[in-house]
Formats: sequence, C-alpha cells, structure tokens
Amino acid sequence: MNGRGYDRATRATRATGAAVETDVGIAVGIAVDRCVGCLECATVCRPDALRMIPGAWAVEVDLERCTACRRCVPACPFGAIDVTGEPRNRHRKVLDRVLAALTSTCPGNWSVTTTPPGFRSVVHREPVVPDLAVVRRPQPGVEWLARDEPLVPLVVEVVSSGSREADLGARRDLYWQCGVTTYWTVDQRSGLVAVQWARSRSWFDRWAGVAFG
Amino acid sequence: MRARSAAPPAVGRRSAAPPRPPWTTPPDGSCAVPGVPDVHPGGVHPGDRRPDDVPAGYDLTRIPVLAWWLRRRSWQFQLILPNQILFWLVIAVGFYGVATFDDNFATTITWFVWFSLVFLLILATGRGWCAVCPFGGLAEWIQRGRPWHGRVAAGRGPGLHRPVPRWLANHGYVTTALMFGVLTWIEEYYQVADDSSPQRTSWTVIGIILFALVVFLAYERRAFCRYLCPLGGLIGVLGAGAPLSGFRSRDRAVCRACTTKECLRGSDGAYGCPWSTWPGSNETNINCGLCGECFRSCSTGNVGLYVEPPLVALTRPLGRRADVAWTAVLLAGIMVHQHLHETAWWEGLDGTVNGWTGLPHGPDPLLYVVLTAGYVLVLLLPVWLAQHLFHRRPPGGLPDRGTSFTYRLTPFRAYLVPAWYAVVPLLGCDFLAVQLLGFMQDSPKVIPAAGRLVGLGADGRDGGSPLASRELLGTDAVVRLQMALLLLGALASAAVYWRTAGAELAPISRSPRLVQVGGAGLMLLGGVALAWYYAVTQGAAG
Repeated sequence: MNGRGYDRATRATRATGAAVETDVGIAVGIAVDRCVGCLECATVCRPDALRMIPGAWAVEVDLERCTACRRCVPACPFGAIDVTGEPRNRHRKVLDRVLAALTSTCPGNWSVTTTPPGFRSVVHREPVVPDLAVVRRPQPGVEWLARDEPLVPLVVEVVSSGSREADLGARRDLYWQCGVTTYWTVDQRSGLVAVQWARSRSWFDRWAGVAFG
Repeated sequence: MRARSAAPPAVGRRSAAPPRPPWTTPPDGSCAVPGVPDVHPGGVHPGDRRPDDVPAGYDLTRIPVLAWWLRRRSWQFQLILPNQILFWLVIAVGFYGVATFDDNFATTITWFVWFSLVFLLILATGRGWCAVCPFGGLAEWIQRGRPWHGRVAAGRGPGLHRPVPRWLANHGYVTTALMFGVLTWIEEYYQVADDSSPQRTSWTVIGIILFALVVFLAYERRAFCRYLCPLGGLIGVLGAGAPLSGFRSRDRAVCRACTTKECLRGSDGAYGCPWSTWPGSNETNINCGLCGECFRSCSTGNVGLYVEPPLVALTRPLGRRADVAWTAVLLAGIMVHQHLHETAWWEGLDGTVNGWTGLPHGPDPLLYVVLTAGYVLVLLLPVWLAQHLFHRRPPGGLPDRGTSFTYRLTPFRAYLVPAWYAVVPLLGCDFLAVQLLGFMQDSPKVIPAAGRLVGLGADGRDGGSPLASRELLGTDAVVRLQMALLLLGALASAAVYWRTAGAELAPISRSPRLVQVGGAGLMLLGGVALAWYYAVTQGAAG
C-alpha cells in the first residue's frame, strides 16, 4: 500500500453547510445557520464525530468517524442535521476504509470486491465468504477452488471479538488451501493491520503501520 | 502447517466525552452572576468557565417591573395587538378611504410615519420592530392556533411545521436581502410609496401578510422572519450595532452544563426560541427577536435582556458571519440604486431599456437587477483590491472554519467581513436619512387623515386643515440633519473598522496600518460623498 492509498483512506472529510457525501454513501448536512453550537448532538454522538468549528458557534461533522447512526438528528433542537446513507457499524466502517485504500492502489487488471464468490475447500463443504478480496478476474457465480495460479492473492478479514479465533486460525488456513497467499486481518477496534503471507507451508506475519480505525 | 499469529495490540478507546468549544478555561473559574443559581441538573464544574461567560452590559431584567412584564405569557401579544389593529385599519382605509395619497390615512401613516420611525427603532433597539411586527405576529398566532394563552406542543397546531430547507438556512440573511430588493422594485414599479392609489399600499400589506402566512404554515418557528421576510435581514443587519443587545445568557457556563435546554425546546409555559437562537451562544442581537420566550422558559433564570454601548456588538469577532456581511453589501447596492435612480442619466437609460422591453415605465426589472449587481461589484472593489495588494498568508494558513457559506474563511472573506460589518452604521444612517425628508415634511398630514376617519374635517378633501401643509422642519434644516446623520454614521463606521481591522488584519496583511487607515478613510469619504449627494439633490429639490 502506498502513501496515496493511505491518504485517501484516512483523510478527514468534514461536512458543514451543504451535505457532503463520502465514497461509502454517507451524507451529513448541517444547516450551519440554524446550528447554535449547543452541542446537544455531540453529547449523543458515540463515535465522537461532531465538534465545534473553531471561531464559530456551529458544529461540523467528521465523516470519517460518522457511522450514520442518526442519534444526532432527533437530538438537535432545531432539526438542523440531516443524515442519509445506510448506518454503518464499526465493522462495516473499517471495511469501507480498507476498500477505499485498496481500490485506489489496485492495478487495472485486478479488482477489489466485498462480495467475492465463496471459497469452498475439499474438507469443509460450507462456503466461506471473506470480508474483502482482491481478485484477478471477477466471475460471479463461479466456485473457485485451489488453483496453481493465484486468482485471489489477497483476502482481508476485519476481526471482531466474536470471530477472532476463527479469523486467525481456521479461516486463514482455509483460504490458504484455496490458493490465497496473502491474508490481512484488520483489528476492528484499533484499525491496525496484521499482514500475513504463506511461504513454504508457513505463515509469516508483520504489523503494517497503517490504521484504518 | 505451522502458523504464527499474533493478537493485535490493545489500543485505548477514543474518549466518549463530548467535544467542547475551543475556549481556554481560566485557572480560577469562579465568575458567578449575582442572582443566578449555580445549581443545575447538569452542574457547573468550576473549571468549565471562561472569562467571557458573563456578558458585558446591563441586564434590564434586574428592573422588577420589566421582569414581571416579560414573564407574562401575553407580553408579546400586548405589544402586537395595537399594531395588528392599526395594520388592518390601514388595509381597510386603503381600500375604502379617500383616493388621494396625501389625504388617506393608510398611505400617510405607512409612508410618512411608519417607514421613518421603523429605521429609528432599528438603530435604537435592533429587532425592536420584530417584537411588535403584525405580519409575523398574526401568522404566528395562526401557526400556534392561539394568540397567547397556554402553549401548543412542538409540531402541533395548524400547519406542517416542516424544518427549514437546508439550502435556505445556510444562506442566512442573504435571501432576505434579495427579498428586500424585490420589494423595493415592486414599490418603485407600482409607485406604491409615491403619489398613487392608496389601494396599492393595502395590496402590498396584504401580499406580505399572505406570504408570511404561507411560510409560517409550511415551516416551523419563525422561518419567515429569519429567512424570507423582506425586512428581516434589513432590520437585523442595520440594528446590529444597536444598544439593545437582546436576550442572552447571564452565565454561559450554566447554559453549557444545562441538559434540558428549555430555551430551545420549550417548557410548559413557554415555547422554544422561535428565532432558533440559543442564549448561551448569542453574541449579537441579529438573531434575537425579543419575544422573551427564552426568558420565560429558562428553569434556572439564567437569561437576561441586555443593553450595552452602541456599536460594541459589531466589534466582537466570535459569531461574525459572512452572510451578514454579504447582506450588508446587497443592501448597500440597493441603496445606491435608490440614490442614483433619481438622477437624469438613470432615467434616460431606463427609458431606453423600457423601449426595448416594452414596459410602460421604469424601473425596468432587467436594468434594476443588472445595475444593482454592478453597484454591488463596485462596492466590493476596495475589498478585492485590499486583499490582492496586501494579503499575506499567515503562518499555518487561515483558520479552518469549515466549508459552509456562513463561516467559510478565505482571504477575500477575511477582508470582506470586518469591512462590511463596519459599514453597517453608515448604511443604517443612510437608510434613515432617506426617510427623513418625508417624515419631517409630510408626517403632520397623518393627523387630518386620521381625523377624517372619525368624521372630522371637510368632505374628504381637507384643504382647510393647517396640518395638511405643516412641516416639522424646513428643507434646509432637513438636509443639514441628513448630512449630520451621515457624517455621524461615517465616523461610527470608521471607528468600528479601525478597531476591528487593527486586531484582525494584522496577522494576514503585509501592511495592516495602511489597510486600517485606507478602510477607515474610505468610510469617511463615503459618508462625505453621501452628505454631498443629499445636499445637492434634496437641497435642489427643496
């Protein structure tokens, strides 16, 4: 991942006045003239996405933090906040940012998708769908099995507390059986990336200095 | 398969505490206001105070009689009712009274008395007129379904109570300035305020009332007054330097700690602020309609009605907004048009354009719009020149104030906003001076016109009344008064600019002193030019 992808993924997009839409479809508009800076919205904002504009009695929203939960909408006494877009939980939010970063850096003959076809190993007949995958030739509906040629060189899983053990164990091995050679796990809480790659039947790992939280 | 894995390092959660405004908390934060209980459901932490928590000025609600009156639910109703009666009388007399402009009560009281006194009221009290306005008053009664008694729950009562569209709200008072431009054109084209049929005055009043009613029934609170009233921006901007600074918090720390905010949401006995203003952040009287709802609703008694020295509010940097500056520019452009359309060259040009467009008389709407826009551009030229000649990028760049029309800060706006806030006193004096001649020379006509309503005077043509031709002041005296007023306004503008530019342009200007001197000099020059204009045109007319 180069610096450009990092910048795009972590750049704070702030919305004041006219609604500003992010790459992932969230738009927050604050009628700044109706905002009096009472911070009632900020008291209910869990991701801490609302803050005062320096030198003004009005708030702005950090769209990188906003999850479109809409708690702020009824909290505003003047109805000055308008939110559109699907609410995102933490998992989805981190995934969106990884997606944006990879999409911006991916070569033309590869594509990044959050809906890859399910992997199915010869052992486990249940298909397993990763959170995100980089694929060479996206062919919807085709069941991909292990090939000599790595059709899916990279799989990304956003690790949540409930799936931590499976993501870091059985799933990773399943992907390896299906030809995946590089596996990223992104910690949902901190947004840090653990990069693991398979070489000579072993997994090696290192921490990437990139935060997607 | 041998695998190595590692759990991600634990990273602390972000703070869930709400962000606070960017003020610095003083080390000793005890600045309680006498009479304000420092106990609140949210509590006031001593460290959560800043030096300007207690506003400067005198709190008029310390006067017991006034406080008692303001606490009455019917307070604003008592103010509006006489005006309401008068306005319906104006409408009726305009239709059914005598047909001559100078003898009709509707026209004389509207154009010779009210239209002059309203500017005096603006310069003295800010939105004092809005507190008694019959347009908004009537529409608000209908919106609430009752004139004064009790309180209708939020969102109840006749009407849709929709929130104001964001595109409208984000442009602040600019739309009201455009509406004022439209009203001015209607008034000039249909010669409503000139020697025309009194029915036109009645139709104008009815039109504004109907427009207000539609907006009040469609949108919540006083959206009409704040965003669409043709006089709303004019009153707010011209009165920004008035001594009456409106209702505001007695101690902002109490407001910040308040968790109920009845002033915004309403309480059992009072509505939430109809003007969408929070006393805790109110820095100016522009957004305060003086209705007193916040005073009545505040459960901690933390709201007061303040007076302060004139012009002080114009020098406060926090809360100074670009839409107010743009509104001042637009109003000035309209005013320049009003001055110049009396001249011969304009009438010649207007006649030529009317020949192309086929209109019987002027002002031609196309010419009106184009020329007014041209005047606005000319008025902006000094700001543009100052920015291009003297702007210096400060270390770290200009403060980031978001992307909104209201608060976005660019180099041009950094020069525009203090300059046009400073022009406000001169602009206000100009608006008042324009009306002085009519008031001083024609306002006595309202007395025989009123007498005719109750059967006094002759057969509808009261040629015998000495008041019909009586003047309060002769033309020469009026012109001298106008010139004095304009020079006073120019001095006030120059003083405001001297103070604000000295503080604000120093970090962003290569030669701040030159900008300061140049701007103040331009304002003085503008005042002198206007005084000369009045002396030439009105002196000659007299």
